[in-house]
Amino acid sequence: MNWFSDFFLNNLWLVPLYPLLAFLAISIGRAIQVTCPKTGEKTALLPQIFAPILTMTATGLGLLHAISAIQWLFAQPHEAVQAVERNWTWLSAGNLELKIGTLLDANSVLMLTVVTFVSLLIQYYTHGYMCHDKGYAKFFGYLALFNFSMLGLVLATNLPQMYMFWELVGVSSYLLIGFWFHKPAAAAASLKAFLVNRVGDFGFLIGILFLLFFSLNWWQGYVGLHPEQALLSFQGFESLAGFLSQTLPAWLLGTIAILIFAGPMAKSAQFPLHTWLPDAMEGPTPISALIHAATMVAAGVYLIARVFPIISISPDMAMPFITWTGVITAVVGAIIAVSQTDIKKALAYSTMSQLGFMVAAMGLGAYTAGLFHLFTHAFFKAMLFLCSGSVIHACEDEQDMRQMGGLFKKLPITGLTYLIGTIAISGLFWTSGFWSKDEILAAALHENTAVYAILTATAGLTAFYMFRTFFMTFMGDYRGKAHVHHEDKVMTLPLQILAVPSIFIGLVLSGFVGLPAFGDYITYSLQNAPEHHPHSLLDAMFNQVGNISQLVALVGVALSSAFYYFKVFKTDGVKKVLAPIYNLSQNKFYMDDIYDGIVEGGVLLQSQLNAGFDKYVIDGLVNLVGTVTLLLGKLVTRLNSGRLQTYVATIGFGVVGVWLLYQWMFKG
Amino acid sequence: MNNLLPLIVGFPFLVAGVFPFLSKAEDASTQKGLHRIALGASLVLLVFTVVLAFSPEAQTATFNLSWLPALGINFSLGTDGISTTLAVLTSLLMVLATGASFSTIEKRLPLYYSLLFVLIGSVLGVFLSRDLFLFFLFFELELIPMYLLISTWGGPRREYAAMKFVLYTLFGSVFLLASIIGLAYFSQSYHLPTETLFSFTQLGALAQSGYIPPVFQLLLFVGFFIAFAVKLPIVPLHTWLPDAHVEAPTPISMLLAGILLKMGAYGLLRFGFDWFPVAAQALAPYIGVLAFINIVYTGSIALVQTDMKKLIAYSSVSHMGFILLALVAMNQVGTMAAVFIMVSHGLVSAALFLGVGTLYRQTHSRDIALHGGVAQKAPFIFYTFLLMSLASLGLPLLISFAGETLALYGAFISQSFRAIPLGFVTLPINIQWITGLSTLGIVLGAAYSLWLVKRIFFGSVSDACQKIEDAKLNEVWVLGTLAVLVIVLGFKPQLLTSQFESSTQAIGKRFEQVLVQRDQALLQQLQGYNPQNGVSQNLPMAGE
Repeated sequence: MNWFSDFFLNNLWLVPLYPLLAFLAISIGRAIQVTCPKTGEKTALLPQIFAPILTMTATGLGLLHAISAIQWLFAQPHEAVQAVERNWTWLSAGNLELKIGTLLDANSVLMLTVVTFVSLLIQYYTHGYMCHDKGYAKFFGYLALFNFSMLGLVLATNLPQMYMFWELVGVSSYLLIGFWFHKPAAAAASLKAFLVNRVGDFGFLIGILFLLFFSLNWWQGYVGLHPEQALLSFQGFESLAGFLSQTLPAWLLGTIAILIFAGPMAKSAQFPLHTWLPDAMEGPTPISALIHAATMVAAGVYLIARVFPIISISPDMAMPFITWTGVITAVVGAIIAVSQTDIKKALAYSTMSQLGFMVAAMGLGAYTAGLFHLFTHAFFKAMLFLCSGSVIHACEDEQDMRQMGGLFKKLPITGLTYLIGTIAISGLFWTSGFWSKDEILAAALHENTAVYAILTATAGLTAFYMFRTFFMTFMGDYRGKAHVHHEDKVMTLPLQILAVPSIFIGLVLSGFVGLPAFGDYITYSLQNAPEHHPHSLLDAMFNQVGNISQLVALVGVALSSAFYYFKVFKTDGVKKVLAPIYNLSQNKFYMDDIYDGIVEGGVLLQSQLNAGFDKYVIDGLVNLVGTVTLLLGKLVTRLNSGRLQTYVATIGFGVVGVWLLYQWMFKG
Repeated sequence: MNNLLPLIVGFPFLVAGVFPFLSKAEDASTQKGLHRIALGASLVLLVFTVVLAFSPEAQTATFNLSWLPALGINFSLGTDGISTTLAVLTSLLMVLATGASFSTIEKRLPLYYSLLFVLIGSVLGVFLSRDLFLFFLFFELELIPMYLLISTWGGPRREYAAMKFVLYTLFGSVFLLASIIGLAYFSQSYHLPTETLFSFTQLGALAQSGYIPPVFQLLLFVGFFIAFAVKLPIVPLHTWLPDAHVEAPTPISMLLAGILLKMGAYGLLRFGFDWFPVAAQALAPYIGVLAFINIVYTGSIALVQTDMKKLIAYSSVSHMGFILLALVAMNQVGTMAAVFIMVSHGLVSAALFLGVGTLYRQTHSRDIALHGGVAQKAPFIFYTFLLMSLASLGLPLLISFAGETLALYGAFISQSFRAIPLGFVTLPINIQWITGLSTLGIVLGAAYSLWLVKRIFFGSVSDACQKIEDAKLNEVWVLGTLAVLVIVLGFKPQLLTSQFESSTQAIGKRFEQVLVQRDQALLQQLQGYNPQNGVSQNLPMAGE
């Protein structure tokens, strides 16, 4: 047992490597065609069924590493978790040495567990969901590629490594959104997702360059003292923050933090860089569950957690900026979710809103609460998306909730787990969402009453729109035309498994049941961070916050059932009364139109102008020079007349001219 | 290994001399034979360069033959890390271009290959020369086969494009020749040995020594700069490139983007920046602005192209801007980045041109709008083209990422200029600003690359693409080789950097020294004006 878990613990570098090898094996095995000697048919070298086996084996091995890492974590006193960092040089040039490695600490254990566990379930689910698809094997290959990138990101020891894998998860997401690339909407969505993320990464990259610029010499001293660590190693960020706060003015610290935050803004779909996330629902539903709900979009929050020391030294600029970005995102996402009729789009806006909660928590300094919500959200949101996939699969690819209703009878397990997920995300009845969301609210109450009020109201709205989707999909009478199939066992098993943490994981890690609390391990110990709240401080506020938020959520549920279940109120009347907000919601705050305007009227127009300038002015001048030269040549040919008088006269004028010029230049 | 150098430069010319005597029949089997002979010869050449690169003398080999002692011209060849790297790149791309020719070139093969080998021989000569006059000869010699290759095997406007290419380069060559003669003049006026008048070591030492008056250093630098700015190309001397690419046949486009542009980069590094660092730092602000324009302006033009080849051509110009930015950083990291991008862009752009070429071969159209849904018809072309597009936009763990990251990093930590003096006014824009703004290039790069992928490969199959088939076997081999290289060198860039690290470090250190000396001199000047002021807080602007 011991050497076994030691092996898993000491060889974390294998974790991203397994899925990479699976990806390569699937890609190459599917690309190479062999001819069957008996039938003469051409088939791929690797039979289709090996794709899920390879991918799931890779993920399963990763999960074993995660389990041994959890054991390692719990074996240590939670006040003093000794992080383990290992690095290998990737590239060195001059005074720059970029390293890739694995960092084992509470944060990475948390993410490692979530990613491998949820991935494994979703891969199993995919086997059921995609079995009729032509690209079945390819899909598993892409899933493996995503796992490689995501696990590399999770285990990253330093900011440049994080950036590298950050880009790679982006490209995995691009490939998977555009999986059905023959559909124009999917092709457009994948391009949009990549480009919006690139805009964020543009800021992120400049932020990294700024950090390096101001701290390169300092890092060289630091790495000299800690030879096992890399340049921009996360473990050194607390010391770095101390150094930077003494050397740089506040506005510069804030600018750097906000530039780095641009990356998470795009990846975690924060307003106004959120528009790619709803479009990303064009991808197959398992992807929406895995990448665009549970793991990749949460990577933004994870990055904020990693670089938190740098953010915490700008309490007057970066932290409020992040808080309010999160708050606005939470509100906007919730408002848009209310009017969505596509079940996946509604869930996507709900994801956006929940990510807003997490980011707001980070901005408030409630580091632990933000990560706790990331953790619980991963389970119940993955489950909700998988439920929607089960529904869509059963309704023959129908996604419009107006064409659904009454599905509970046909899809009992899906309906029940969806209800559990809905209760969890609404934060009702001490399910997991209750604990994590209310920790955020407690922090908000402690820090900023306005933020607290807005977020509590948004939590009520969350309950409203989530129960709306539940009622529209599962309650009432069936309104659609498609024949409803029965549930697939391969698809319901992951739902049942995910239901368990969705209900209990919050309670188990809340610290109220005798086990160590989540926050005891995921702590942040920078002394000079003014905004940090130890877990114990939040406990005191927890009771008042918890009761209010449950009450607000119940009001949301009541209103939702009044509208969509009991139909006491008609939605049409409310739409008229709340017309301005309803229009905003319906048109997604016009963000897509604004961006279209910027791209068409700004970027593309300017590019067309540049292209015109290049073609007509620069190249025009070049061609003009050519033409003039030709004309001059013809002119000179004429001068070559053969008449002696002309030659003599020309020579004479020339000599006089040169003499005059000489006089003017040197004698005058 | 000393005998390998003349062999590497001489072998292509030898092969070129043999080809005209081979059968001119245009039947399939003869043609296949000719293609195979060419492939065999280029593989032999590749073996030679690889053996050189991995031999103990890879950095130090030299070969000298007195040629015209009266004029001080020697047939002198030599290597360092940069030269060997580029020689391997050249012969590798020659193999791949030959491989690509199997399915694209069908007429007048003996002449075609003869010209191709002359071209490769002269490019190798350019990279391996250690005599400036010899360098100039090879640099000019390359024009002739290139002109004929474009104008004979090219598209509809091939003659215009070929003539434009030649005239542009000759325009630059005038400046190159002027600078070479200028240098030789100074060499003689300092009574340096005349029998090695044009040797790199002698001229380089003279140029770096500072004995040449500053004004003339500036002039000589500008001469070299303009000559290589045409080749690289740098805006506004770039308009030959899109035309040449559009009209050139696919293998020639591969070589044009893959190695001919690198001659410009190589020349800028070796003669421009390395020999005249003082002049380079004086002009750094303006070169920095040019780099920014190259990256962002041509990147934006690439975005709105309707012609696939033109789009990739403009993207090449944009990537060359990163080389210029890396050079203008004038430090070790930047120098390394410049050479790295030469290689990475060489591989990636060759693959992109071949990818487009496989489509053009079948649809006979370069219009993006006519294409669509090709991914369903030709998965191999799609996946390799996607891979190369991702490499081109700088995806981590693919080859370009390391180069572009080093370029941006090198420029960001650079001290090369702190303001842009414009005579009447000094703009407070330092190289950090220029770098930050140039980072926009990575957004544009993603936009034009992936938008192109979307328009050609995604969506439903367009009418023009109904009959498209996947890549032929020769194209599969070429694209597959490039894909493997792009991935392997992307995962382990140190396989590549170890080849030229010491050479670029030596150059980079000289740059850094020059910048340090400049700053010390400025500091002393400042202290001279204000004796009380012990330590200066704000250094004066570069160029003042």
